Amino acid sequence: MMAAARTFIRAAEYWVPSSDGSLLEFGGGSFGDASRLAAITPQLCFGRGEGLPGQAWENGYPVVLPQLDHSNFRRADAARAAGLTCGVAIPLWQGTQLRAVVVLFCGDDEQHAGAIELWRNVPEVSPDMGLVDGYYGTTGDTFEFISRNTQFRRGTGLPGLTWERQAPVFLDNLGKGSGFLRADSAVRVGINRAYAFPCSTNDGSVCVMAFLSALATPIARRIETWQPATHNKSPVLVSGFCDTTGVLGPAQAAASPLATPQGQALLSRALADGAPAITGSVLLLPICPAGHTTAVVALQL
Amino acid sequence: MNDSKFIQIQGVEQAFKTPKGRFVALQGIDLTVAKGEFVALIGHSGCGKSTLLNLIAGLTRPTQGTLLCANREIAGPGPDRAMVFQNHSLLPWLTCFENIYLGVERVFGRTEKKPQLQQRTDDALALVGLTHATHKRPGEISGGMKQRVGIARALAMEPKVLLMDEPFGALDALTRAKLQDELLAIVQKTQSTVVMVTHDVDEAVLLSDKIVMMTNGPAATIGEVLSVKLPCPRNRVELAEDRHYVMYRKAVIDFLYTRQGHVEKAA
Amino acid sequence: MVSAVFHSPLEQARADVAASRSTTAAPIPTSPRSGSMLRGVLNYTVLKVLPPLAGLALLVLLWQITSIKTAGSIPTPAETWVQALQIFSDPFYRNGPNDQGIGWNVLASLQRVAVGFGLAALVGIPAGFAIGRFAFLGRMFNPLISLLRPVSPLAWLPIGLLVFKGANPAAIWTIFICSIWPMVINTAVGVQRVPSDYMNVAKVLNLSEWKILTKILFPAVLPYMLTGVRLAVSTAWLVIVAAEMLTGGVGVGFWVWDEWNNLNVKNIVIAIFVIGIVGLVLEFALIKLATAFTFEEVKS
Repeated sequence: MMAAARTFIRAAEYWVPSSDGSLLEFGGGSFGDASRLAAITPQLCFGRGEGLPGQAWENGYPVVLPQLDHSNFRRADAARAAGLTCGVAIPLWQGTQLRAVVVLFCGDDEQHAGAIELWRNVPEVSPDMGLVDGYYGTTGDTFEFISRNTQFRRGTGLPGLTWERQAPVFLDNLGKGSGFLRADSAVRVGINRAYAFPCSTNDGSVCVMAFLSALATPIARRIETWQPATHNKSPVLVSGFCDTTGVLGPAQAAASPLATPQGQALLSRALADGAPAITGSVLLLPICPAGHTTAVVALQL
Repeated sequence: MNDSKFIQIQGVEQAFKTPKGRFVALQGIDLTVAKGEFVALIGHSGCGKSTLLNLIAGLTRPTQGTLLCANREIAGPGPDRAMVFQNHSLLPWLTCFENIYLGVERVFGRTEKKPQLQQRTDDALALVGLTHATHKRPGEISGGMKQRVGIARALAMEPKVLLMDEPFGALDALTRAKLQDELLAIVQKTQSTVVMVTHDVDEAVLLSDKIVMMTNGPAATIGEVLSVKLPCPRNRVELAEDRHYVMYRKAVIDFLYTRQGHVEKAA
Repeated sequence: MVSAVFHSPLEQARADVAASRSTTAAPIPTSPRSGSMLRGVLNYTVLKVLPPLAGLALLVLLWQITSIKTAGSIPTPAETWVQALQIFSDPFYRNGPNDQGIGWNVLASLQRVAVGFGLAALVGIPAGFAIGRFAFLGRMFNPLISLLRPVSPLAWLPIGLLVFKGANPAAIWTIFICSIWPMVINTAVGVQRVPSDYMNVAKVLNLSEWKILTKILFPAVLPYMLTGVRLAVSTAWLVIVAAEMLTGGVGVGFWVWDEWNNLNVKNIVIAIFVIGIVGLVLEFALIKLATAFTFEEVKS
């Protein structure tokens, strides 16, 4: 596992509503190698329903863009030039108020397999969580086919487990015994790692975002889950995974890129008000499934 | 609206009192079956599939939750939810004709006269291709034929739902295959709503529109639901090479055999 | 081949029969076709016919030995045979109430058995149904049944005599009390053993109580009932002989006792054979009846 191995998630940005609430304005981004994208993005702004972030705002729940050639995506050329292949926009809600929209761009190719899935359950309609949309890239159609026809119940499978826990779930080695029900098909196409977290929605439905990748393609360089402090102490690094050092726990908090005072301050703020932040190459993504923030995921790209 | 929620199972729990305490067989079961849908219930032994089927049949009542069929609560057993048992359960002292007639008489006896009832029975026997065994006793016919009579008896009552509890489990592979094909044809013809418990992955994928996979007991619940979108009418020989059939099959086996262990790390 | 060591004509006759049967099968076949047929006959003889005959021959042998040992107080087979021929030449004579042909005696005993047994069936079978169907009744009566069952029916005889004040009714009472237990118990077990599948069928078909009783319960319980009947009848036949010996009245048992008083041992031996043969015939008839009503599934 070389340090220079490309990650599945390559770029991240977030958008915040303008003061009058009619537009989404650029809040910050980390684009890695995608210099053209980095250049053109800050000038853009989106209305409700416009572009990828606008679409997520409109829907009320995350949007997956499996093809960057979509008419609604304005920056297709720049994204493609950077080797990006799909994107996902995640709205963050506090009650009915849109706090921000976080957009992640992923890139996979022949050597680097990855998939994004968006699972949703609408309680009034059915007790099942079904696949809304997904990007399956080079993983082949078996895995996609089964995922599209499968519905999970609360507590079963990766989406079901995330749904039940309302907290991020990381499965390191998908294979038998990992609880990943589609393990056999997944492993065969090279996927052996999965990360899923619940997303906030404004319509009462339950959404789970899942990122799947191969060993050679880590989802991100480092993923950390931080939870709110108890008794006013600093935020706690609950768990995580680092590409180079492996599984993380509270003991590794000191090695985190967020171990700096500035990082900690950002974390506390994110935990408090549910606002995303980007510092360096680290995205802070608040998890607020039921409207209030229960955890913050730190993704280092 | 009515048709898509023909059978509704909401929040059903089934627990038994045993000398060792309360044994929860099923928990949190939510399921809807649309009219004309063929649903297969699959899972390891002891996961409560048969218990669930008995609940739908009305042979037992749940300790919690409700079951509705055609918008009426399922309060007890009845010929509108006809059941085909694993042991054909034919009465051995009656002929095949009389076995079927028993059910027909019960359902239609009040409104129709004898000749009509007899006609219904003959039709049912013809449907399963057993006209030549009309006056034979169960002891005189083979296992496959007995099961066919069981199916005929259930269908003759024109039930709203056909419930089958591993109907072909006790038969050899060839007979099983033949009966599966026949069942497919019959279900296509009668447009019946069917809920079938099975152990056989191939059977589930071949016959059903939806495979409901149950977790292991105790406190078993529904784990995953797989929609089988294979073209109808389904031909066993063609499907054997169909990519999608193979994928579905793999998915079910994945579910059944990857269920060991419960290891995951919270990120 | 049985060797004709003893020279009793009876023994010789039997040995000859046995010899002739086997000799017809023994000769070397002259041609392949008739050879296999002859071999078939030989097989059949060896397997089916010889053993029982050998058994019978052994019995007669022992009998003859005993007869010789007791210096004639037990008659030889030959003498008994001669007497038997005489008795059976006129089985239905009547010379007065205590002197009747053997035919009448047997019939009188059978009649008592029939009546006692019939009453037992009338009471026992419905009781068995009730006990099997309703657990409460089962719990109520099972201890009672377990207590009274091991009691020899003959112990009930004095009570019968007291209550009914007559030999005939008392004998019937004894038959009743000994026949009732197998019928109650077997019927109850039969009801409990009705496979739940059949009851499930009844439930799913929503059959009326009457239909359940006639179409399902009764046919399912019938084999058990018939077993109970078989047991009851064989015990009844056993008991009637003893009861008659004790109470007097016309019948086989009485006849045996009477002949003992007259020291007519030949007749006693003949009576033994007669009782045995009648019992065998009864058993055989009932087995045939039971087989006709037992269906493949229920048998298992």
